[in-house]
Amino acid sequence: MKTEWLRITKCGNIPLREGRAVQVGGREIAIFNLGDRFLAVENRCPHKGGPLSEGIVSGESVICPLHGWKVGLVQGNVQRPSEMAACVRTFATRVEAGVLLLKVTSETAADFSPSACPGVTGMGDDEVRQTEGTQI
Amino acid sequence: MERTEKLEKLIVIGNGMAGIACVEQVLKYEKKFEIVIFGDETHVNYNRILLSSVLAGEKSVDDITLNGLEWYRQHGIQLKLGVRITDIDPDAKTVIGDDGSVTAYDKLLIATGSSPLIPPIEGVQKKGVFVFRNLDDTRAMLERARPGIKAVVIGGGLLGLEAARGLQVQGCEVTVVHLMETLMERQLDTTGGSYLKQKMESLGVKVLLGRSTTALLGNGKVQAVAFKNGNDIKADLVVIAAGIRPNVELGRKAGLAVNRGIAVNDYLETSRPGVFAVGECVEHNGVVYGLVAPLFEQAKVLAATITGNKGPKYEGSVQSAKLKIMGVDVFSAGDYHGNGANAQEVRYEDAALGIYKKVVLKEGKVAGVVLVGDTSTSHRYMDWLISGADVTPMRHTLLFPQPASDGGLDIAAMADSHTVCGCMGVTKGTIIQAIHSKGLNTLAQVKECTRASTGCGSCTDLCRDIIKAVTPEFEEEAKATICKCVPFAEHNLREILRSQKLKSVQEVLEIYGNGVGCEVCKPALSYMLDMLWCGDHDEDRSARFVNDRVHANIQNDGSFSVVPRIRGGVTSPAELRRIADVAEKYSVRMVKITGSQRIDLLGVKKSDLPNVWTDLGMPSGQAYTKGVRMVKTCVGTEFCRFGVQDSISTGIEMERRLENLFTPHKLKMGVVGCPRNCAEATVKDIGLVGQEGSWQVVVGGAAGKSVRKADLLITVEATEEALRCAELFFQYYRENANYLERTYGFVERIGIEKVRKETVYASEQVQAALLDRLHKSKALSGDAWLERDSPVNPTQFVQIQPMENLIL
Repeated sequence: MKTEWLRITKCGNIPLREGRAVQVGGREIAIFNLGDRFLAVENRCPHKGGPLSEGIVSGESVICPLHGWKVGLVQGNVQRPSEMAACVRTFATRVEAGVLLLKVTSETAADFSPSACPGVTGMGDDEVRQTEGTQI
Repeated sequence: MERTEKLEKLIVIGNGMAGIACVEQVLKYEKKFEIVIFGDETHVNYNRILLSSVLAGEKSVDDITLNGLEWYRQHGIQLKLGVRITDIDPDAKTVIGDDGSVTAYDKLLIATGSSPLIPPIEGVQKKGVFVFRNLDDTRAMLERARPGIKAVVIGGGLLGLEAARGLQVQGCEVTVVHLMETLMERQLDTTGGSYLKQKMESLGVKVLLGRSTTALLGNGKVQAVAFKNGNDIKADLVVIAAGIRPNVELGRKAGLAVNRGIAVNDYLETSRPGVFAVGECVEHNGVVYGLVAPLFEQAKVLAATITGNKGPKYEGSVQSAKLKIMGVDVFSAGDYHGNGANAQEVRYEDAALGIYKKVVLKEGKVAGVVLVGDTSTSHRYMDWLISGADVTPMRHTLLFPQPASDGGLDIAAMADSHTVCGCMGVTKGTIIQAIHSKGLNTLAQVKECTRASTGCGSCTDLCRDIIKAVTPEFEEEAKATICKCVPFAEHNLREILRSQKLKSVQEVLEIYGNGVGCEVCKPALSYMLDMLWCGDHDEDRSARFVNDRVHANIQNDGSFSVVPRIRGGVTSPAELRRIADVAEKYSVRMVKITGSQRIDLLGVKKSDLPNVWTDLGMPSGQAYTKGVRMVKTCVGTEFCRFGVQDSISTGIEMERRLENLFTPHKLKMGVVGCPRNCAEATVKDIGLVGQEGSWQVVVGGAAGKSVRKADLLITVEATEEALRCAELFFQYYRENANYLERTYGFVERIGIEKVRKETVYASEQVQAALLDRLHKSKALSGDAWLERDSPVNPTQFVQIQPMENLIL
């Protein structure tokens, strides 16, 4: 399994408090600009696959534009409806010389299986979980 | 009960918070009295501390009523409002009222409170000068306060600052003038005061320190404020909030021992047997209390004394103060100066965030605390201050408590004896017991049952958290606020945005909200700003729903739908050809005729949108937004055998005049050329129904989730007049409806009579002003699809291509 920091785009291409989608390998990833850092999650709402990148950002969460599910961007956990144990994958980000980098493994980028939730259905990919965002 | 037995007569002078708190406590005992309460105000008992919220428009008078008339009736209490007791005869055991009445008592309770202190300033009797003590003062100020006028508040203490903020929310340009060099110097050290000053200034309140006011100038009506050192400032309204003085005259005349307040012992007895006093008018151990919590502690002790259960003692209170201004958090308690050799200070400051915390320790115990900018932990310090616990083991985390991972845990960790509501002295245990034993589910029930959170209201969130944690059936009360992020009613918020000239969503969230916002309030605020400033504001696309970011309607697969504007439903062969070409060129999945005489191209990729619009060469139909959708028409006089009015050209003109504007919810219109109503104008938000020689303008119709026949707004002869009336209603709806409120709900809520009165039957000036604002908005609006040529950001429509990709 290969782990890589991929150069994605200039930071300025992701407007403040908005998200943008990017295709990496076989997977679409939503990257959000929170002002003091960038957070990245899989661009598929666990509910009906809605594009999270098009949602309204509320603090460290995004609200899916299709049916209003609220997804935490730090852990990828669904926060509303609250009884849901579903999750989306998260990806570490980093900024170098004004360019945003994403940490991806060949496996996570190709894998379409549903993500695991911390403490719910047994841990999934630990490495992916360590995302803490990146200071600009 | 044995009503025949003659009850002792308890007379209470003062219908304020202290007197009533005491009566409430007395009622808990078995011993019954015949109770008579005299109040010189004409209102039932209300929460005086919340007057500043009334001034700021956050609460109504009803909201702050503590005990309604029903409560007095229920307990058989005689209430004499508007009667001022002028004399007490302790020998005859009677009180004499200014209405000439003489009433005998067995026990007398003096709860006369205090009055505003008026410093020796020349000209205080001028018109436009107010004190801020009671409901009448508040109402008078509200009547006077107008956007743009200059208000000067003399006194930079708790009350002065709250008055200043209230007036500012009402739109006044406010200056606070303070005699001392530190704001709230009785509660804050100099550092805390300077943080507070910065915060007030950042909200737009001017602060002048170290100014001694000498005179209020003006001819009959105040026009300026003069200072000792010169430099007069203009003023249309002046509030004097220079402190309070206990109302002791009655006690003095009755021969009671009086110092600064009426002297009482630990049982709240005055120097005369059978005469008691409570609240702001008393002095205990040399201290006069002017805040609410001590009053309740006194009331409890006094109730025991009066009912023959003498024993509990009042031993003084730890004074704490909390400023109740949205967005300005200040808390102070105990000895916050930290004077004395054995005092140690623990401090934390973050100038950029405006946070300042200081805890004063003496011999390992918390002696005082000052919190500015973040008061979320105040109850923690208050607990320590009261319990006198040794906090030495916690010194490392004194100012940084381990954050609770969720509200529930924090609640669980709290001891049952923890005082949740300092004002009313209600513990966590009491609240939980009430919830269980009475099956309470709402905050309102808990408030009624335990009185918790009926004082200053600062524990409201904590109470709600407790209820949430304990009862599975917790019900959030429906409040007329947008959402939790910005806890204001929408009409207040509109006024705030207007008067404060706030022009960006983030700014509003930071000053009046939680700084974060959500998918509910952000679009609502975006709408309000757009409506108020007609485009002359910072349009923040991140606060808009995706449809309004890319001007198309998102579909269930993430693709978008495109609906070009086809005014009045009238198109042309050339347009139809272009639509067909576009549909083929971009492999549009479905071309559909909509229910509103338009054509919908479904399944367009976001990145194709700009090109689709260019190729169509038609303006946006706004089918994706909370805005003007379309005008549906019948063919009218142009073709129809029965047509009596030209519905086509009128409909097209109506659409032209209103298109591209945002509205609180989507807005659909219809124009029909005769009462057969073929284009269903009577179930549209706005409809024009043609009849022989006139038009009916109808509003508030619906044929969607709700079905409602529109109300008749007016019948007019000329087509131009019909359009004008439609415009009047349109703008009135834009300005007064809540976000996401359709016209049918709006018209029902307001009532068509009022709508008529404030639109088509309003004065000429009001009508002209409505239309003027509408035309301004219209002039600054435009076809959103032109953003195809000048996107608001480089990736508005463009999919980001990664600079490098994985090699799989």
